[in-house]
Amino acid sequence: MELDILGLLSESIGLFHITVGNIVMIAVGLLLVYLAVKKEYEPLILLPIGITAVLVNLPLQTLTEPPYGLLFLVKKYLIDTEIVPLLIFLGLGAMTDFGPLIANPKSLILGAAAQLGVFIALMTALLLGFSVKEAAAIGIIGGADGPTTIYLTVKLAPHLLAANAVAAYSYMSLVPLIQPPVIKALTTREERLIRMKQLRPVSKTEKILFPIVTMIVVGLLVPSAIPLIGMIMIGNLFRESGVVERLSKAASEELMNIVTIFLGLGIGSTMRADLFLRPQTLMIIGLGAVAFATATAGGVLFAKLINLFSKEKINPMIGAAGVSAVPMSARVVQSLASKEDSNNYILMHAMGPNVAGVIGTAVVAGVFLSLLGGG
Amino acid sequence: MDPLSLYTGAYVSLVGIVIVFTILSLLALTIEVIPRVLYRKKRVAETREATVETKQPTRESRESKAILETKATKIVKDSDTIALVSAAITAFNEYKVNRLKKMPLFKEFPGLTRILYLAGIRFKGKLIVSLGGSDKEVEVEEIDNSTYIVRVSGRIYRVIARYDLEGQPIIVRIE
Repeated sequence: MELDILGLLSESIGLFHITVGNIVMIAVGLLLVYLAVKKEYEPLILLPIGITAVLVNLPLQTLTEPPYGLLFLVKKYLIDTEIVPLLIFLGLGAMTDFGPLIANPKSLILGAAAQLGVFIALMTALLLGFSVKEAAAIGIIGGADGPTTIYLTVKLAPHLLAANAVAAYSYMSLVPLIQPPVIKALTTREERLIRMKQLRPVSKTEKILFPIVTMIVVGLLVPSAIPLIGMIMIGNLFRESGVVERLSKAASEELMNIVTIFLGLGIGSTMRADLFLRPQTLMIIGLGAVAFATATAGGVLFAKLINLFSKEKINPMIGAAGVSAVPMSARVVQSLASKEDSNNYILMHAMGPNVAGVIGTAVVAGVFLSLLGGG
Repeated sequence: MDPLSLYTGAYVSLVGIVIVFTILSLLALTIEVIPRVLYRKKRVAETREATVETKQPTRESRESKAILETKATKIVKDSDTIALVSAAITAFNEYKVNRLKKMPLFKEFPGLTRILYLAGIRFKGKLIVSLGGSDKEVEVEEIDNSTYIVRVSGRIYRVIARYDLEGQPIIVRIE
């Protein structure tokens, strides 16, 4: 009888079932929590991901177990169906001011140039032995756009979801560390000192027309980008129309907060030791760094190329903001400009490529889906 | 490393780069064109308005305009009326300021009394004005800061005034 009780206890106490993998993943989860709380690195997403990672690595937990585990349901019905990333795009649209981009349409080209990092990371991933679909999903990390990364990964390589999402959000939070050395290496002091003339004011009509035109132009040319572009532009139209303030507020605040919680829970639930602790994960983390650095370089070099042919010089640092990471990378660019010349204000100029990067990454994701047949 | 995968990757990258640049360039062009079209329409409208304004009036319209002006404005040159109206407006303004000064806001910022008409607040008052030994009842209505309607002895005058440095009205025109 006593022996049975001991057996029962050993079966039902998690401590007896913990593995080295669980311990490592709990440590990883706690590291993410630490980074979110102490360093404030993307806390809105890294905190729920981190703490959920701890939770799902506690032995014998049933949250991720089908058919009724909460985290299982969240992942199956909200992440795998793409509902959450798309709703996040709706919220992003309601939060984004495309004014600087409309005032300086050249920014769009810089947003396109920064996508270079996506393709370089894709090729590097292929060289490391990933399949084309996996490589495309990894490459998109270079777009520095969390929801797009999740959207594409779920379609092309769902088994890499946790690693890709963690890499994307971690590197987004590390933009202030990754970008400055790359920018400095590729620009001279004279270039960093370039001042740009003030952007023209943008009328309300233009701001209202922008989401409609973008949705139609991109939608007609890359239909597979419609979900992402469509949602961000609907959100933006809510914001700019000025007649549905309640919807705009709901999309950018309440809805955004709710879906961010679900995103964190859903991604965190995939960070189980058996799924996450693979050599591939380390490679993805490394490739994420390559993607971010080359995306930054692509934007800066293309801005320099524009300067070769343009009478009105642009500060090439704003090209670096073409990696989406809104508004972090624009802030990084402004901070570098201020270090060289405290009276040089290029934040709004950098915001143009910054929001253009979001559109660019969504277009690239659409192209990948069209060519690789994810959807 | 599979050569076919590499080839596919290179193809996807190349096509991807071309498409992303093409679409974003197209979008940039469209965004560049939109304000031009919008402002061009506005400019055309403004030019049309200007053309209408600067168009030489026809003989007929010149004549009718002259008749209208004669009917509408008959400038008063009678010195007694001018003196009476001036005194009435001065008294009206003093009365208005004294009344408003009782309120702390206007006591502190007397200049505000001059811009009340902007908020749609107009003053109207009946005054007895003594001029040359005779008392006359005058009704003054303020239209804006410098225009008054003055009713005296069954006649209605439209008065345009300016103010000197001390704030006293100088009658510019009485119609």
